[in-house]
Amino acid sequence: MKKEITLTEQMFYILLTLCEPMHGYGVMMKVAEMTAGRIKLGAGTLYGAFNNLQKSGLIHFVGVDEENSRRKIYETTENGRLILISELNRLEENVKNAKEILYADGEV
Amino acid sequence: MSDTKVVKKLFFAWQEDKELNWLSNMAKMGWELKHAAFCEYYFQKSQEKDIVFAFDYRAMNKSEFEIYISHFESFGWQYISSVANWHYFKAYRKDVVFPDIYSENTSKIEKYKRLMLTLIITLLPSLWAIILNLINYQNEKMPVFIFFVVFVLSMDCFLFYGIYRIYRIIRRLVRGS
Repeated sequence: MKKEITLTEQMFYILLTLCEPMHGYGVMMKVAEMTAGRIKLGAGTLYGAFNNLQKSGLIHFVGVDEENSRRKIYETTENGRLILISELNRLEENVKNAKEILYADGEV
Repeated sequence: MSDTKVVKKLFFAWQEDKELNWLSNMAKMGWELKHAAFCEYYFQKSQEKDIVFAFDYRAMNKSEFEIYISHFESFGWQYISSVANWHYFKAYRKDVVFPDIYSENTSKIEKYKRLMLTLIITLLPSLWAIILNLINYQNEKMPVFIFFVVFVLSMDCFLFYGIYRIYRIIRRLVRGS
């Protein structure tokens, strides 16, 4: 768990979305929905991310899509979840510190 | 007037934006790219004027390639053809959520690093060949040797220049991300 993996925002969302097994297009749609269209993942970025995340053991291949056997389905591994949790802690610290400073006098 | 045409044109790997723009402009004028080969572009008359293009650089085996293509197809990209591990894609603007295959710089940088590695791997054996020839140098073979060195070195200079241009693209992307 000591591994220093810096997740880009897009990688973070891919890993998060894959906590539920899904194929590439599904991930893109889900992330676009969660961020209200702010993050639109490109096909190439997602393909590369799947390869990299699989190599570092953060996601694993679970099978192919029933409708299209050439669509691979992946899922986040236990290690991947640990990475997400440490990222969540980091983000919470950011939010806490920012709130303390920005909202110090009760102003926005 | 014919419905198809072939255009011979040369773009280098570091002129990707220029090539992409050219293809989009051809589409605006009603010429849709159907096939790309080395220095040759095959166009067909088309009603579809708003087309985006993308090139990816990636080496892989056949079964991986099928999965790769169908992954892109599910995003609305149509596979055109490949030229030496460069894969050409196009999409009708209305079919894609995001008009580029890369949505963040990190993955774009990885693409250029893969390309740079290939260029370096191509460069090394020829440099090695020159060194071997220098070691085994024989006087009577001088004209052949000089011809060989000049030929290989000019190829290498070009490769060096290519690597330098790709390096600049990577540096620009790193600064931008």
